[in-house]
Formats: sequence, C-alpha cells, structure tokens
Amino acid sequence: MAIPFKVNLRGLLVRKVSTISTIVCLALVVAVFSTMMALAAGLAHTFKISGDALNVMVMRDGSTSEINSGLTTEQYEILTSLPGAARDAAGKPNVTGEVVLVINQNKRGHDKGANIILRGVTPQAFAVHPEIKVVEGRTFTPGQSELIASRSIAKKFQGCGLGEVLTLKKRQFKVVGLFEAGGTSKDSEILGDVDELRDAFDRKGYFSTVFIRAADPSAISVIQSGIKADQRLNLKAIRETDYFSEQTQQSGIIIAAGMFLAIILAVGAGFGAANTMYAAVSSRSKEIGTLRAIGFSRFSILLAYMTEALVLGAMGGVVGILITYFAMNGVNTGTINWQSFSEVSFAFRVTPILAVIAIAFASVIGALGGLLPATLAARARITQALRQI
Amino acid sequence: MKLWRFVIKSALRNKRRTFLTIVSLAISLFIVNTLASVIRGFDGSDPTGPARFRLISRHKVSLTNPLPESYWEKIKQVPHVEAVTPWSWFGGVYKDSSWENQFARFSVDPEIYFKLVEGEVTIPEDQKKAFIEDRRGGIAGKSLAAKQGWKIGDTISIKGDIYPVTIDVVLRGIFTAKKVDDENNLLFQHMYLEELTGRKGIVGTYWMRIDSPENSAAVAKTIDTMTENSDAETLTETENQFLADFVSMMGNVKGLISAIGLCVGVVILMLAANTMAMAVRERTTEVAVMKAIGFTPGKILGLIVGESLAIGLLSLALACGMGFLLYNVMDFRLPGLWTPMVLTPMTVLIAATIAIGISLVSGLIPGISAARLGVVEGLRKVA
Repeated sequence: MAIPFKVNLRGLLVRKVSTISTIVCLALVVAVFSTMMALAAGLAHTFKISGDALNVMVMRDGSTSEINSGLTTEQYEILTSLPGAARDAAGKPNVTGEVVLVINQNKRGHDKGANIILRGVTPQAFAVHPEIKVVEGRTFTPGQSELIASRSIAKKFQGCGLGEVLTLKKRQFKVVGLFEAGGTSKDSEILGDVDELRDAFDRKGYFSTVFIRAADPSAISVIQSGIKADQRLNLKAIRETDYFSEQTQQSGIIIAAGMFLAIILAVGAGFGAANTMYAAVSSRSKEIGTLRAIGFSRFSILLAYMTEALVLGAMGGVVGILITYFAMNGVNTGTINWQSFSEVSFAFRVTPILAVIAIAFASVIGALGGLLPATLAARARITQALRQI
Repeated sequence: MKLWRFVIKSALRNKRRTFLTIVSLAISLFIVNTLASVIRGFDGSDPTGPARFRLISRHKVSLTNPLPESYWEKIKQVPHVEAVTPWSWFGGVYKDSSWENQFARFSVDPEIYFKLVEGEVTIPEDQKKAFIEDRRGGIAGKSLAAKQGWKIGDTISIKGDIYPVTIDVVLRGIFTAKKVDDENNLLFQHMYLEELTGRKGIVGTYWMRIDSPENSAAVAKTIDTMTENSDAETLTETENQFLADFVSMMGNVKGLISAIGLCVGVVILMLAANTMAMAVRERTTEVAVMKAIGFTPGKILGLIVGESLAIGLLSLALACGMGFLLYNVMDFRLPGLWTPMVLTPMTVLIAATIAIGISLVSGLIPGISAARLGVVEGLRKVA
C-alpha cells in the first residue's frame, strides 16, 4: 500500500526554509540552463526560418559567405538566361544580383558601433525574397540615393530611422521606408538600389550573390545542374536553406556551453537536494518507524521519499522555467554572425519543449539527490527508528 | 588556537552532510572559476603587459574591409613606430569546418613579426631562420602543433574563402608563447599570399610596435589623420582595445556571463546557508550547555562562523584544484572559445572572495541566533 501523497507534501512543508532554499537552488540551475538554451533556440530559429526553400544562392566557388563571394556582370547575365527560374507576369526571370556590404554604424545612445549588412538589390529582389514587407514609408526608388531599413535596425542604430540620413562613403542616403521580414536574417539588414550602392562603394561590375527563385521545387536541381554544366561559370549554387543551416553551427556552441554549465551545476544542486532529503529522513525517523510498524512496506517508504524528492525537483524546475520565461522570453538581443561579420538580431525563445526538458531535468536532479536518503529511510529498522528521539 | 580543533570536530560531526555541502559548494565555485576564466580570455592581454607596446590599424568601417599595402611604408615613417608588419586574417577551411580545425591563421612579414613579439615568443634560432628564408614557410604555436599532430616539414593546406586561393604552407618552426592564447596561431608569409593572389597589394590589418606606451595615442592619431578622407580610412587602437572591440561584437556576452555568475553565487549562498542552519539547529541543546559552562556569546558565534569558513575554504581549495587540473594542466576549453580557460591569480581571487563572503554570511545568520540563545530555553528544547 502506498503512503498518501498528501503526507509527502506535508513533509516538504515542515522544513520550510530548507525546502525553499533547495527549490531556489534547483530553480536557478534550471534558469541558467534554460536561458542558454533559449538563446541558442532563438539564434537557431532565426537562421532556420531565414532560408527560402525555393531559392538558389549562387556564389564564387570556395567562398563560404556572401561577404567573401564575388561574381561578374557577365556571369550574372548568363545566370539570368538559365532554365528553371520562376518568371513574373512580364516574363522576366526571378533572378536578382545583389551586392552585400558591411558598414559600421554607431548604436543609438552609444559611441561604439557594430556592423550592419547593407544589401544592394534589384527590383526582382522583392519577388525572390517575399518575406520582406515594407511596413512604414515606401520602398526605395531605383536610381535614387535611398534606402529602406529593417524595423529592428532602425530602432537600434543611429541614422537608420525613417527619414534619417545615412552617410555612406561621403554620399547621403535617405531612409525612406522601414520593412519587416518575419524574424529572418533580413531583419538585420538595410536594403538599397544595387547600382547606387555599387557606385558609392566602388564595386561596379561586381555582385556578391545571385539569387535564383525556382519555378517549383523540382526546378532547383535543374538550376544547379545548369550552373555546373556551364563551362563559363566557376560558381557554386546551393539552396538558401542549406546556407543558413550551416550558420546554425553558431548556436551549437551556445548549446554546448549551456550543457556544460548545466551538467556541472546539476551535480552541485543534486548534492544540495540530497542534503535536504537526508535531513528530512533523519528528522522523521520516528515517523518512518511508525509507518513501518503499522504495516507499510519498505518499498512504499522508498516510494514516498522518492516522490518527495521528485516533487522538490519538479517544483525547482517549474520555478526555474518561469523565471526564464518571464525574464527572457522574447527579449531581443544581437550577436555577430561570424559568416558575415555583422550583427544578427534575434529573440530568446522559451519553447514548450524547452519547458518540458527543463522540468524533467530538475526532476531528475531531485530524484537522484533523493535516491540515497530514500534508500536509507527504507532500510531503517523499526525498533531502532522508534527508539530514536 | 585550541578552538580550531573544536571547529573541525563540529564540522565532522555529520560527515555526510559536510561532504555533500563541500562537494556542491566546490562545484559551484568551480563554475565561478570557469566563468571568470572565460571573461579573462575575452579581456585579452593584461593591461600592464607588453601588449601596451603594440598598436593595430584596421579599416575604420570593418575588419572585413582591407587596407592598401602602400600604408606599410607610410606607417614606417611615423615617429615612435619601431616596427610594423601587415597582419592579415586568412580564414579559410583546413580539412573541414568543424571546431577542432578552427584556428587563427595570419599572414605576416616574418622578420618584423619576431621584432613585434620579442620576449614573448620563443623559437629555436635555426627554425626562425628557416621560416624567414622560405617564402612558403610557416610557424605554428606549440599547443596548436601538438593538437593537430604537425611536425616540422609538414605541408599544411588551407582552402581560402576570403582569398580565392589555396595556401600550402610548409611548417618550418614551432614556437612557444608566454601568452598561451597566442600558441593557437599559424603564421605564414605575407609575400606568399601576395604571390598567390597576384600581387593585389591588399592587407587585413597592420600591427606595429611603438617605443613607449605613452605615445600610443599620438601614434594612433597620426596614422588615422594621415588616412583621413582616403578610400580606406583607418582606426588605430592598442592591442587591448582591439580585442575588447572584437568581443563586444558578439553582443552582451559579459552581461550574460555575469548574470549566470550571479545565479551561481545565489546557489552557493543557499547551499551553504542551508547546511549551517541545519547544523546549528540540531545543536541547540549543546550550545546551551556550552553557554552554561561559560562560553561567551562571542565565542559561540566565532565557533559557528569558523565552521562555516572552514567548509567554504575547503570547497574553494577543491574548486581551484579542479579548475587547475582541467584548464591549466589538461588545457580543456569549451568549443568555439579561441582562448585557453586558464586560472589566474585574479580568477582565484574572485572565487575566494565569493567563498569567504558567503561562508561568513551563512555562518553569521544561525551563529547570531545561537549566540543569543537563552540557556534555560535551549536546554529545555529537544532537538
């Protein structure tokens, strides 16, 4: 017969201070763990949603990022004529040659800058990157010194707000619109006319990347083999989704660091939980003796104390994930994207899966901490236990 | 003091609890050590070291923008500059893009490089000469060479990404560095890279040595004024400032680490306070007896705080021992971290401050209530 659950709960309440401090310990360990995981999840999410399954990215063979890629105008012309690309109503292929530049701009309220990606695009870009939606002002006019900035860049950086003027290489560019890109990496960029920007940055005749939007999923391999077959091109063509999934490696490092911290801290917190449970068992040895005397089995005593430890752990987990959720979820942050050497903004993400993992993690710590004390309780001899004060 | 034996005896009275507490405290303090050593790595070289003699010129906009080679001559002419070398980050892929194969590879002018790091980098004279004389030659830090299993004469092939060329560097020497961080570098000749790229005259950054740290601001200003309004404006900083900028690009890493550190600190406080509270509570009768036979409240307080302190110090020793073994001896580092996580007197001091501070607080709380305990009341209580 099992000991009623209520008895265990009462047990936790008797030693309030000790119980609370154990829960706080476990909660903080879980908070550290889940914050790191939420950070990694946020960064990975940004990269994950950034690639478009229909887009093919064409870069110089050997380059690992748009920043160090380069294509000539001739190569671009050849790419526009290859089969497989989607076409607009006028029959123009959905191919956009883009130039990716990095500028260093001061953050608002700081005299220190960070790097932002400045992307020069052709009018086709909006068909190739449908996630970009101008939400304030208007889009830039080709042939004009105009830019549109993502809303998060506009908020964070000086000179990037609507109506503000950004000086690039001694030329004045006006920010005429703000866009949103659904939390993708484009949300960390500024866009402008490719010809104007190449002119300003002395990059005439060169593109960084050419994007080709496939007419349908099966056309992707047609485009890729078309590029491979053409002797004039020595380029690599990869899926945009693959390009971004490579970049999620960065969040792998955060996960590794988070795990390292969590596992070591868990051992510490587990020992703390064990301490609390030992105290609980030894202060209640008379009670245990009584329970055994009236017929409860050793197993039900073990079960009772294990349950108590498990509840202790789970409570720590719940408190911990709540701390992370309320303090961190959705908080915007930014880091450098090592591929492009520029700022990528993203938000902490506390996902339901993370919450489950965190609570399970804390429960396991609690259970492991309670294992030895519970065994001790179950082993107690009735006569001895009853005799103890 | 005779009372120390009493303190030790009390701590050992419940061996299991003391053991559990010490291990959990030690682990938490070990994390504090780890975090502090990560921050130390990010902070770069120490501000009183030889790094003060070095300045770095980079493109004002971003590290990804190159500088013209013509600046080399110009910077040489600047007063107080003793030596200057191009210093370009090659990047590229060695074998594959996994983290084990990520290390810094720079192209430099070999002769000037040795002038820049004089006294910090040690290399046998014949290896140094072989590196300088072989255009395809390269040198690697001792720890990097050991990790990759390189021997002198090996060819190291790296496929470029920033530069559209593949370099085949022949290892001519292995150096040791005072600052262990530097031993993770592979250096090869600037002229070799120029040759492969078709003499483009492009340089990543310029590193220079100046005659005195006091002149660093003046030298930086001279160089930056010189390049003002050109296509490639420079930003010249001390090595320390340069590294600090580099870290700040990653976002608020220090903020995150400090927040984690704070959490760990609270965990330590909870663990220590919990144990001391338990220890004192079960001794209520005993404390009353001690008072009855003439122990002053001050002495009782001292005994309890002493016990707490003993536990804290033992945990600290254990934590530092673990850290020293793992980081200083075994050179363990988290993936993605380019600097070793060694413990320094500074990181140990941080952990020690936390350990001692928290031991005092967690001893004082139950200690004061024990010191205030009435004799009669205490004797009557059954623990």
